[in-house]
Amino acid sequence: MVISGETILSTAHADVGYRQGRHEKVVLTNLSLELRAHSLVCFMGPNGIGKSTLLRTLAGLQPLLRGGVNLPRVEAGKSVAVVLTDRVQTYNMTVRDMVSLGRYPHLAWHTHLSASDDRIVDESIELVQLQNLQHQQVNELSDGQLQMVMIARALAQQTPLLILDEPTAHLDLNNRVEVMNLLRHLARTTGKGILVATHELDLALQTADEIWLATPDKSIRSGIPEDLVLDGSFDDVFQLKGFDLKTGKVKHQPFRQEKIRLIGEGYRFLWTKNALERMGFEVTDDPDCLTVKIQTADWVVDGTTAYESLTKLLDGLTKSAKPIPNIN
Amino acid sequence: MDTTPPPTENAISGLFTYFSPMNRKAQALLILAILLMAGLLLDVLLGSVAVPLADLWQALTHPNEPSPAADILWHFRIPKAATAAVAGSGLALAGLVMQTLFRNPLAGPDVLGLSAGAGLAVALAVMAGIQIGEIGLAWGLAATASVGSLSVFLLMVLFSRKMTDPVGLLILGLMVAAITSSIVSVLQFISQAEQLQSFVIWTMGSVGNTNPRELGVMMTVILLALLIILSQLKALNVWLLGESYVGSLGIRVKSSRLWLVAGASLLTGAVTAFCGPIAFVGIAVPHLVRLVLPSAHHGWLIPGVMLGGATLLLVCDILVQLPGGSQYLPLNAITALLGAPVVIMVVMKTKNVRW
Repeated sequence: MVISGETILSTAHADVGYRQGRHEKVVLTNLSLELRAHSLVCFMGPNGIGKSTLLRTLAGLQPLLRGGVNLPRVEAGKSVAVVLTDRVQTYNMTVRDMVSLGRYPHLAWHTHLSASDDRIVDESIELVQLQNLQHQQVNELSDGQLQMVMIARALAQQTPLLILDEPTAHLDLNNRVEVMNLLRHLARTTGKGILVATHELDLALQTADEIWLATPDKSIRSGIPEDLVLDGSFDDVFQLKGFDLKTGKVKHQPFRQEKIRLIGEGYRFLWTKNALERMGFEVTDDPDCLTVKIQTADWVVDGTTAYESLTKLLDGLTKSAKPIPNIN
Repeated sequence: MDTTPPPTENAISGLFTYFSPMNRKAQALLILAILLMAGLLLDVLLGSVAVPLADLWQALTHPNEPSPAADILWHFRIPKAATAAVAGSGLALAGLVMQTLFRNPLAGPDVLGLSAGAGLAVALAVMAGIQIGEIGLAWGLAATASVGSLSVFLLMVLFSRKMTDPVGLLILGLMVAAITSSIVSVLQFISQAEQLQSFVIWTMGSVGNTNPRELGVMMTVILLALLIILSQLKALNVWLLGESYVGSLGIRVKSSRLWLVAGASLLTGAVTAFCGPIAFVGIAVPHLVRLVLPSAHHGWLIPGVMLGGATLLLVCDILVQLPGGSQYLPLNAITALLGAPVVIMVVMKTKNVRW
């Protein structure tokens, strides 16, 4: 365990699933998990493996089949706050009203917000940087903004544990990165334990302190992301098609069966390599093949022909290359 | 975003502050209250029998002097206006609670079959020999109708677990209403002519046939339901986000739902028992009120819809007798005329009819 905060949530030999009458469907079994303060845990696994079921069970929204879950404060609504996939559409509700709903476990029946409640709502809105939108109607927001509001609402609940079910679904790349960065930041600064179910493999690998990986045998493997990559756990679970997890890139077939030696450094090297591999060339260190040298102003092939742009280089290379062999 | 100008001694800017967004909720309630007063006044002043204003004033200020005007005022118009106001507020509150609980803008006591359930219960009571309007049986009738509403509501809650599509739920409600109505038709067919007549008139909806005792029972039950619903004020606001969030915010989902179902059933039952199954008020009023009252908080919405519902049913009652003749139109004909366009507006406005 890398993060050394106190344990916020732990389970012991827990079984989660559904019970209908006498019929019981176990989704994930014998779970012994631990989540610490200050840590961001990404919970991953193939679709339909029961991620939402576990999250709902940990949040106390559905009963545990067997085993135990330990949360510090058992008072309803004060130990876990959730952001769910349920679409929230409300009429006549401002961002501030929505965030205020997070204070409800702390309020009396008449829902009057005290000055300190108001301050907590302010702080929650500031944490997600929506001060400018706080009097906006919730149903006028973009998907990304709405997700931030729902996170602020959960923050206002002031719970030690925050559980989010696919908070980045339906968002574009920019918003996805923003949400994950925010969660990463919140875990560090507020000391909350944050559990996120997500499909964003690349984002999770780069932001999570720990990954819980649901496997097809109904159990969960946990560990730091890098360990799970190197020991092949991700490959086992996801059976990745065309994505090389160890390099974090899409695998390319060198279908031209032609090698190119690339000389250069920095971003220009990386993106030139990307372009060549995408076009079917194999990039090697072999000194005996065609050489492309990256210079500050241009790309020089075999020390003779210079191209002033990457597009022209690719154009030149593909024209002079051998015809693509028929692999079939 | 706060555009309120700083307060000054200037009268015009004082007016600005008064009409700032901060006050718009209070203003909306004030406007609704004024409309209600106007509605009450008009409903008492107007009627199929033309009574000079001076006579009415005389009867109002001297309630113990017998006169034709006093008779009409105290025994007919005032009870009728009070009944309309109380019934309208009850139905509108039931509609608000149902729309929030189901997160469905198309929910209401009539469209989800609660009124029909109450109707079936009353029909069974009539078959068993209970005369509608019989003194002494008011409590029994209210209880019977409430049980009828409650049965249908519980059925709809069961359906809503499986049916998340709001329009689907609406169709199920209409089907339940169709089934109960057809049972009522069968009962009517085999019942005796005398029972039949009082029942058929009852189904058309009316606020003019309640005696003071019935009005008292109706008000008591509605007050009880209001208290039950107010006890769930926090929960109601969270129900707008859906069941999972209700649980996550520390509210007991099942008991909260049960109290709200009980409250809405009592409201529908009490009103339906004495005024008949009044259509469209419950579904339409919350939408009309939301147009003028910019809040999703039930602390504002509950008084808003109660004032609005009372006003709308008073307006309907005025229109029922306006055509000048001695005949009264069936109340339901007018409520549908005013309410159905609101439902059409909601369906057209929200492509995705879920909140």
